[in-house]
Amino acid sequence: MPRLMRSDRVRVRSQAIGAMSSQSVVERLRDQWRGSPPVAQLLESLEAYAGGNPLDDCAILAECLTSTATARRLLSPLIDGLCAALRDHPFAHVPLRHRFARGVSVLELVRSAGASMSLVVYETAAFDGREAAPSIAFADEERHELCLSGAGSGRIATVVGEREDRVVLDVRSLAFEQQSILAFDCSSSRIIDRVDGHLAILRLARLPQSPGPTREFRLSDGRLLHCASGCRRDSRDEMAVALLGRMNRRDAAEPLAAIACGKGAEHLRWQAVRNSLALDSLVGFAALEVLVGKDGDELSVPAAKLYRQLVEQYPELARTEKQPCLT
Amino acid sequence: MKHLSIDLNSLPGLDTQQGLFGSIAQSINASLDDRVLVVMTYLYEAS
Repeated sequence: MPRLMRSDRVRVRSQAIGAMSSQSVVERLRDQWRGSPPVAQLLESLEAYAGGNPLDDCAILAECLTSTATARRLLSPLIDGLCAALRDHPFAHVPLRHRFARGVSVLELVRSAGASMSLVVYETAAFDGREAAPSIAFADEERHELCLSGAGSGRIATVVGEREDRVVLDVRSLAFEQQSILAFDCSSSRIIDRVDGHLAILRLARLPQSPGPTREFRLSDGRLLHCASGCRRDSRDEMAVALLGRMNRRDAAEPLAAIACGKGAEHLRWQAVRNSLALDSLVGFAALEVLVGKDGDELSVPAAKLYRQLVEQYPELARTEKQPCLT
Repeated sequence: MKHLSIDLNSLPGLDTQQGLFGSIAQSINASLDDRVLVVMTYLYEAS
């Protein structure tokens, strides 16, 4: 790469400084908005809601989710201010968590622990050339939504019965319009099929302490299509366990055995015992024996099955001296 | 006993296998996407 001439370096540096000051403009705007008395009160209310209080006990938050006038009054200074600032500073980044994909925008306005308030905007482009969604996902969270502006149509689905690999869904059509108020939990969800121009929704979401899995079902027959962990911490730990296994870190076998015999999520613990076995068969086998003997543990049955498989495949394992599992 | 080499792929997963957090495409449900990255730091000590 050719070296930059002095004049180029000065120009690049001044552009960098310019970008930094642009960014500080939008960040200052955000901080001023968050520090304003009505938003500070909203944050307090959100904190109480995140702490487990029912929405009805969090007056300002509840009002914001039921009155478009209140919501607009709170959001306008931020949205108007950011739009004006971004026009003046086009290289600045929106200083809030955000996402834009295929006509759907999400802007996380405020967050407190597991509770967050976001602005979600659907544009017509999100539905151009797209067939009606064949499936619907149910996340383990509580959600309240208020349509701020625009209109659209969609479906609301509720799980009314569960069978082995499928659920019974009650699906109803719904028209979204300004001031529509919706509430969902782990067994209810919605799909938007079409919008007229745009549809802006204010969303309040709260995750439980240990969220259960998110499940996706086919709408036509309720069949389970996919199940994903609802807890990012568990998934992160599961990835770390898998990586240590792939790195062949034998010194990780004992800590993994301890995770397997601990109190974590069952998928994480199962990955830990598998990788512990692969890294150090003696340590992993000792952990497996502990799991087999744990009455009431959800892993005791699959552990017993794996134990029998291993003893048949490697009879010498059953003859080894018992090693204590670190818990 | 000598350490046995057990192939990880020969060890079954759970019947209730589940994907990682965020592995359901939620474009229609419009959530923020946290799949992006996990940063891990490994410390090695010379002994």
